[in-house]
Amino acid sequence: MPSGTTEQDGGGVSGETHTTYGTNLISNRNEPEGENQVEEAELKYGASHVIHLFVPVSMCMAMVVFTMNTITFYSQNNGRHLLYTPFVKETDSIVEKGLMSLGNALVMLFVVVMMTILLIVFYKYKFYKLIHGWLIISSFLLLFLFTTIYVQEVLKSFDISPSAVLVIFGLGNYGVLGMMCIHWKGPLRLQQFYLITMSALMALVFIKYLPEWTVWFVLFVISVWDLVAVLTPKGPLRYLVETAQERNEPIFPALIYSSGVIYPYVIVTAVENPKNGSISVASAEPTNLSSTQPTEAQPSVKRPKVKRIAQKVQVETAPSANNVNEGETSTARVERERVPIVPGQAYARHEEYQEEKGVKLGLGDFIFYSVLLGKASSYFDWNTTIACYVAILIGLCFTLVLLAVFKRALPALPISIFSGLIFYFCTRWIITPFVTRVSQSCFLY
Amino acid sequence: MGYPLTIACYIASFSPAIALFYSFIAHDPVQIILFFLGSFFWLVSILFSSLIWFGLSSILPDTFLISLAICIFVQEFSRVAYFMLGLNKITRQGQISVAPGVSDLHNARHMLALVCGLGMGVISALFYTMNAFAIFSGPGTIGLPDALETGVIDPNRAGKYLPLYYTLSAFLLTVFHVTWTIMVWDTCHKIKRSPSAFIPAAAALVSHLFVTFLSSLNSRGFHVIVFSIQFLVLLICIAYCNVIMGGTIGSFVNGISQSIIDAITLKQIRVLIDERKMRNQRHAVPDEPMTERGGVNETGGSNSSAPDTIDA
Repeated sequence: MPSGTTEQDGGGVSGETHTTYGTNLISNRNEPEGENQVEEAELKYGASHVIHLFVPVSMCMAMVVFTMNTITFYSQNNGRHLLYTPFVKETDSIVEKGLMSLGNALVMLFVVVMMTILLIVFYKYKFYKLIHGWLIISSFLLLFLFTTIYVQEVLKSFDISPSAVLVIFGLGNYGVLGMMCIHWKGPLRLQQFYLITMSALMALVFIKYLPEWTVWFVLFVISVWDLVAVLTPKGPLRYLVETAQERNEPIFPALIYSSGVIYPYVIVTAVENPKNGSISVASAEPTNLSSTQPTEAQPSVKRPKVKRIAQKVQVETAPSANNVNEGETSTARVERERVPIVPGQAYARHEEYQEEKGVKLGLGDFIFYSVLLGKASSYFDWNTTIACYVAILIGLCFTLVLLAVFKRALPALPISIFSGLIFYFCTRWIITPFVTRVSQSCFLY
Repeated sequence: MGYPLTIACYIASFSPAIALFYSFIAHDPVQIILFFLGSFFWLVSILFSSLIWFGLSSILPDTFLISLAICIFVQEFSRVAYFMLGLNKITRQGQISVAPGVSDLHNARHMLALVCGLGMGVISALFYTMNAFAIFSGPGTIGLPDALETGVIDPNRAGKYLPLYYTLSAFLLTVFHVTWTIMVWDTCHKIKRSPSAFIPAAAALVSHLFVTFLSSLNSRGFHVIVFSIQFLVLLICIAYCNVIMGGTIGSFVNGISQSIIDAITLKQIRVLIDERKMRNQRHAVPDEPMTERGGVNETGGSNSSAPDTIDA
């Protein structure tokens, strides 16, 4: 096995914690390492994380944008609204509109805050079954009800009419498979697929039912809330993260989309886990710090690629898995891929545990990014969509850079959403007129 | 008709970008991020220039041409700003760096310029074409009275060739941005050492202005002439970039002819088969993509062979 050589390599580079990066880099460098080598290697490692977040985020956004542009059901509002947005009167007055939207956003924020607090209370007193049930019910709703609506609209707009039996059979299988993948176990790609699809569906529901201007206010308010909840000393999300770490449990971000209200959350710590870095091969040596030795005897070394995406998903699926305390849950499986650790075994210290996880992004982030992009694309101006897309991705990158600097949980929404909002409004009102003017005169610019 | 047309337009306009992306960028996450950062910088530059346009047009009556010129200056300046970000540090040779995929290469800083320039080029081409392509997809066909009235594009001048012109423009923009970035960054890299190093940047600026204002003739219907001149300029720019990277005109011509021959004789497939054979023979071949001058010629080749296919 290659583990012997990599260990040697890693030991040769510095012998300290950061060694395993050496193995990740292209192997032909033998130069003496500089002071900043470690940092740069971390950056390199972080970069691959960023890309592994880019892909699912882009897929989620692509699904939402595609749906918004092909299926009219989601882009037009037929007067029905969510319960959380009580002010839906049609007016022309800008002030009134702004006030109503702000009101809606605040009501929505209130609901989110209440849910968060409820969740934390449950979590604090260890009502795991309750939380788990909550999660199951909400994902059940998404997988069956919302998917049914979506499929119905897709079939309608493409004018396909399969038989009812076929549809019910397909939907039932889809839903059941999804429930299995998310809450029990299933192939990793499938899990990711389901999570992405569910986020996209949720985002579509938001786009459809939130009134025009409320969306922007909600995005803004939620980002601010995310900032507050994660960064303030008494912030609920921070509390959640810390409690989870104290209990040596995976943090639960999946709690997060619960009963239709989601919870913006990124978590994420430790992009740069120095010990068992990107390669699970290399993780053989540091593992003995964190977990007991005998596990190393069965190093099922897998390719790192699969695994890295797994980190993200692991987060999302983690809660359900560990709550039930089943040994053979999906979390356990994921972790076994990463490091040879016996499933169900508690981590020795939570630092090691943090290092396990890599970067994570809550489903809430997926949803709100997609809401922003989907809403931006609903005005038939592709420039706006592209601008928002690039802005959001750059915001995400920047968040991850900050993550590498601060090495603690950070909110992913604020930077991305703010830059997305800025570019949305600028593009819509300033850039597009200019660009249109230029291309009207047939100028290449 | 609509959707196939749109898809064809996208494929044709972004084929060089996709080819470059796959052969140079996609394998390295750092380069992908730099690619996106490049497009972000272009976005910021266009934001500033349209802000300037917005401000100027509220003061002066007709400021369109001035703001277009300013827009070009701002774009070139954004390249300089991007360079100032400290990217030259990445490409220092002989040290462990952030982007091993980049700094190992023979022409590390030019590769980086290619990556970032491609980001800029792709997003500018997207901005230029996306709305037009969306209109092509229907409902309705270009050239109908409604499109004339709303006047989003002026189909009257180009007629049924409008999709072709948009495609060619997008293509030009993508590759031009790459070449301009290489030129400007070369200046930025050398300006401290020799005072005569401003020439590449000046060339980039002049060619950018020239191409832009040449394209205004499009509105009078001289598409064929305009595009042939623009492609000539593009060819000169690519040759100049080749010289900057340390090639000569001879090697440039060689590279192009070689790549054309390769394209005709299906070299890709042959290489693929050869590689497979090699892999089967010995597994320990290190994967070292494009270490040497091959990269440069490849760039020139893929740039120059693509227009042939599109023109034909």
